Amino acid sequence: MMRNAARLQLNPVRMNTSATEKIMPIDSDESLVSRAKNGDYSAFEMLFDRHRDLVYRFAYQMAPRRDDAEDMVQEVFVRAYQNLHRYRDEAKFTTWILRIATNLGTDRARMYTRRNKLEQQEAAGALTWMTIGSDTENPIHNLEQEKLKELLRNAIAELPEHHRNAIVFRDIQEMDYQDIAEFFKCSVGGAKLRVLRARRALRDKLAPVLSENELNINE
Amino acid sequence: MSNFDQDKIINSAFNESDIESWMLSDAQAQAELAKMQAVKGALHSLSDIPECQLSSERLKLAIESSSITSRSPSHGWLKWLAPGLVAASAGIFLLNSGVLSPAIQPAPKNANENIAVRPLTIDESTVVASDTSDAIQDTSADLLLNVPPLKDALSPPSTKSFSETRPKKRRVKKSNKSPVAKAPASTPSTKVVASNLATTMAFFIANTGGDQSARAAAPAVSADRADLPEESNIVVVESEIQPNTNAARAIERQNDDVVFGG
Repeated sequence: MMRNAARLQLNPVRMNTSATEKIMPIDSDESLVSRAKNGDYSAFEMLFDRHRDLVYRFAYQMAPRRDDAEDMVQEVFVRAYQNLHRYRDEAKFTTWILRIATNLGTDRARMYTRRNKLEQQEAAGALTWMTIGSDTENPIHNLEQEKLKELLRNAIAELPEHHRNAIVFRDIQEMDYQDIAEFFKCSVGGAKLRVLRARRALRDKLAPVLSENELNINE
Repeated sequence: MSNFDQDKIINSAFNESDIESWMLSDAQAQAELAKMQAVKGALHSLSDIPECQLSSERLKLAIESSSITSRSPSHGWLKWLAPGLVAASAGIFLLNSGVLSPAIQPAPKNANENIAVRPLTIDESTVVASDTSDAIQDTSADLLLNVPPLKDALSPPSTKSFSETRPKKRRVKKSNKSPVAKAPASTPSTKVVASNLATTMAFFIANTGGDQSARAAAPAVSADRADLPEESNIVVVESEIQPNTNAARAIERQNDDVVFGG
């Protein structure tokens, strides 16, 4: 089994690109995308299994409920499959699919946030107790932690889209600056500057809370 | 504190630069650093999310429900290629075989309506009167005396080109505003229709027995018997009905054995 896997990794696939020919590993994203373009659905399934969590983590920050985030992930991959012929090798597949998630998530996040607020208002806060899992023995502490998380999520949601994406990619998903730069189509230095500005904007949003020393979330 | 110093504090709080010595000695900088470290911790806590349970089967169902599994978007125009070729070849075939030729007119929906609007002209200069029933009676009697040769009546459809078979447009006088004037120019002329009618009636009278006027029309047919091919046979249908079959007997005879006209 391991021998087969090693042989699969070693066998390169020669692919024709528009400009030049390049050799890529058979299990690389580009190779799988090329196979998926030719109708191999199993290749697309491999891409899905590989990058599902990445998209899910991003979607969860847009819509902080598991079923909503899963719906968004599903929609992102359906759109990716529909538009697979538009994917070019200039960008990484992860960058491309995160861009789809970003475009989809902006409107969806607004909708999910509005709906959650309405549900919480109707249930007068009871839903928070029911839906949030308890990791500690003290439910009041757990609720406070969740309230602070909700506060932070609201502050992130109020940020402009480019600031929000920078915060999510770097400080929540802990992506490399190289990948962030590819997403924003800028240099690594430019990506660092964007992240710094986004953090500054978040600090300004959280200034009232920070002054009261309420933002003390235990990891 | 300057923006430059604040940026340094933010980077230090997020472990992207070292904490400098002046930050440790400045109380305001230490407070700012503590706030940003709290923000960093809070952001990190947001990465703690439940596990994704979206399966590949569910994704496959979603894709199939979108009806996109077998679609190739870049070559979508190819699916119209085969039906287009079939339609084009069928159209060319039908045009060549003459099925779609404009010389052949579709059958009228109503026979009476057809009679009312058909121009019943005897010759080229005669214009049809408004009373069409009288015109039909007059022309039928007249045409029986001028039966066209059998050769013309029995000849196969003309194989002339479209331009030759197309009837000429006839200009209608402006004063004639009856529905007759609105008849299409491509309607077959009364002369042709009446000649076919007279030939049919002559055959019918010759075989079943009729009055003298009809019998008188028959010799005109026999006069052109020489025009028939030598080898052709003629089927004679007798008027008597056979008791065993309840149908008239038909006998095929040589052309020379049959005398036309009774």
